[in-house]
Amino acid sequence: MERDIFIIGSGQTPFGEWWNKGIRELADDAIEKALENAPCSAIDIDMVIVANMLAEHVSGQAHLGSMIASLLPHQPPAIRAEAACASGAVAMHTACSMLESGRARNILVVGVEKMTDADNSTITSALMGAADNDKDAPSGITFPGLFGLIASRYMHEYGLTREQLSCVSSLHHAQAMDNPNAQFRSPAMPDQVSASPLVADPLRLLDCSPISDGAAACILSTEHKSPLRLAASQITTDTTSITGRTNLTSFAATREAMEHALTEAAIERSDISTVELHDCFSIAAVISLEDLGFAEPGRGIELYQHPDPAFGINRSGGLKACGHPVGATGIKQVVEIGKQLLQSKKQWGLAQNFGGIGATCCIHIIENLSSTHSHV
Amino acid sequence: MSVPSARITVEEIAASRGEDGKAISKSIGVVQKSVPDTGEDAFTLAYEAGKQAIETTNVTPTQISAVFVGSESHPYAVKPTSGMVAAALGLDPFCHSADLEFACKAGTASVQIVDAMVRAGQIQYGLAIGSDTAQSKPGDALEYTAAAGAAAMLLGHANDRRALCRIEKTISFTTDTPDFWRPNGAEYPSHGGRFTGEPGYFNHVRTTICAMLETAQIQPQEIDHVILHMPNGKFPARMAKECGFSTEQMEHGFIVRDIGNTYSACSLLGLAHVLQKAEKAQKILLVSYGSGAGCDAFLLTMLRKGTPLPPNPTETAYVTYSQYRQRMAV
Repeated sequence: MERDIFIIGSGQTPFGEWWNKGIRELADDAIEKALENAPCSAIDIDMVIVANMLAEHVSGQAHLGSMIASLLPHQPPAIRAEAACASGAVAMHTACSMLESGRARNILVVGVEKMTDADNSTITSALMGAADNDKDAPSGITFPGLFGLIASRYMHEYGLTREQLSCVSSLHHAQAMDNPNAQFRSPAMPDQVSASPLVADPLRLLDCSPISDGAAACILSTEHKSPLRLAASQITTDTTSITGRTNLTSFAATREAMEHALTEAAIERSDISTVELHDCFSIAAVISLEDLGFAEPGRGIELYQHPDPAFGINRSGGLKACGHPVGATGIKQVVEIGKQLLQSKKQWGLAQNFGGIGATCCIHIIENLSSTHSHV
Repeated sequence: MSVPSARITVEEIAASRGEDGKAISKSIGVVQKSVPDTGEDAFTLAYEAGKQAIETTNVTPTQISAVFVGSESHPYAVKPTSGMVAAALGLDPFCHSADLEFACKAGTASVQIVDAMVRAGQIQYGLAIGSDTAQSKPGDALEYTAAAGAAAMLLGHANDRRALCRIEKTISFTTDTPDFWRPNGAEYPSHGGRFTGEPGYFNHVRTTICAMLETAQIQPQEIDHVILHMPNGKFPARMAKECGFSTEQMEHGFIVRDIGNTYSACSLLGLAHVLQKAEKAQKILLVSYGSGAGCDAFLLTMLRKGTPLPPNPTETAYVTYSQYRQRMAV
C-alpha cells in the first residue's frame, strides 16, 4: 500500500429476506452501523463507493452512487463498482486506490443487493450476467450448472466423493449458528446436504449459496487510525467464459491475487489465522482453499473434514449460511475478518471474493495492530 | 360438501416434469389433489354442495332467500354463479344473491354477508358457498396443490331447532398485498414466489388470530378445533405451532393432504369436516386467507353434537397427468 489505510468503521445488516426494505433502506442501515463507532462523522466522508450487481435487473435502478450519496447530508462524490459477485471487494480496492492517490481521505464503501423482489428464474438469468453472454449463455447453462461441471471435473480428477463435499456446507451452517447476521442459523448435517434436492449434478440445494437481501459498509481512512489496517488489496482477472479455461479445478485469478497480496502485505500465508473465502458453491470453497495455497491440489476438503481450530474458515458461515447478497458479500467478508481478528486478538486475516467462475478475484489482507503478535 | 371423486398424485405431476415426487410431496405436505371431471365446474360443485346442505337440514328451499357464492373460477366473468345456483336449487326467487371474489377467502366472506343478513332480520335462511375449480399454470409450483371443491353453509337464526353451531364473533383483516393475482383475460394466475409466505399468508393469518383471541378474550388452549386456510400442508402447520395450537386441535379440519387446496372452499371444507366430529359446547376457530390479501376469522360454539354427512358414493379414481391437463383445458 502506498499509504496506511485503516478500517475505522464497519457494519452490516442481517442477511436474509427483507420484504419491507429496498436498496436505499438496506444501505442506510449498514451505513448507520458503520458510522456508529467511527471516529469521523457522516460529513467527514469525502467519497462514497457503492458495490452492486443486479439493481438494474431487479429494481430498475442504476446510478447507485448518486442515490446512496443522498443518504449522507452533504451529498459527497460517489461512484459504483460492479464485478459480479466480486463487486464488494472491487469497491474496496477502488477505495484503496482513491485513498492512495490522495483524492479522498475518508471513503464510505457500501455493498448492497436486493434480490428477493424478483422470481427465481429472473434472478438466475440475471446472475448469468457474470458469465459470458456470447459464449456461455446460449447453451442455456446457469451458474449452478457451471459449478456443477466444475464439481464433476474435480471429483473425476481427485476422487472427491459426494459425502466428502457435504462437509463444506455442514461446517458453514454450524459456524453461522453463532453469527446473529447470518441468514441461516440452523444446522445442516452432511447427510441432509447429500439428500437435499438436486440442482445441477452433483450439486444439491444445500451446496448452493442462497438468494439474499442485505448490505455491508466499511469506512476506510488515511486520516484516522484504528487497530485494523488494510495491508493488501489485489485484483486479478481471467476469462469470463468457462470455454476459455484449460483447467476447471483451479482458478488462476485466485492463485495470482494471493501471491500479489502476500507480497504486498509482506507476510507468509502461514501468518494468516482466519479467512473468509468465496463459497458461492461448496466446490468453490474447496478449490479456493487450494488456490490460496492453504491445501495441496485435491486436498482442500481435508480442512473441512478436520477443521483446525487455530485456522478459521468462513466463521461467518460463508456465502452459504450467512447469505450472499451479491454486492454486499465482499465488504461483509472484510467486516467479518476485522471482527474476528479483534475478538481473537490474532494478527492477520484474509478475505477472498471472486466474480463469475473466478473471472475477477479480489483479495484483501487485514492486519490487527492491537494483536499480541503485532510489533507496532 | 362437494369434492370431485378424481384425484391426481403429487408424484404423478412430478413425474411429468422429471422431478422427485416423493421429496416434493413431503416438502409441501400434500399427497394428492382433487380433479374436476370434464362436466364439473364451480357452478356444478356449488350446486351439489348447496343441495346437500339443504337436504341434510330439511329446510324447504323456498325458505332460503339469500345465496352468495365465492370463487376464483366463476364460469362466467359476467353471469352470476349465485343466480344459477338459486334457480337450480329452487330457492325463493326473491333472493339476495351475488358472486364474490377475494381469492381463497371468498367463501368465508359469503358466510359473513349471510350471517349479517340473518342477524339483521332481513332473511330467515341463507346459503353461503365457497366453490372453485382452481387454475394453475402447467409446470408451476401451484400445479401440485390447486384443486377443486365446494362447501356450502346454510345459515339461520341460532334459536332454530336445527342449528348446529353459533357464530359468536367474526372479524376480517384486509391489506393490499400483491402475493398472488390473475389479471382480466389471463388464463393462469401469477404469484410472488416466497413473497406469498411471510408477507402474505403468515403475516395476515398471524395478525388475525391474535386479533380474534384478544377480541374474544380467549386463550389458544380454550379452543377445541382450529381450521386455518390450507394452501399446502406446511403453512397451516407452522402457523398453528407458532400460535400455540396443537396437532390435536388442528386434526379434524386438516384436509389438504388428500384433496389439495380447494381455494374458496378450502377452510369451509375444513369446517364441514370439524362440524361432523365436534361435540356440544366445543369451541371452533376458523381463519381463512385470501391472497391480495386478507383473512376472515370466526369463533363458533357447537350447539349440539355434530352428525356425519353422507359419504360420496362415487369411488375415488386416479388420473394421469395427461388426463388431468385434458380436463383442465375444457
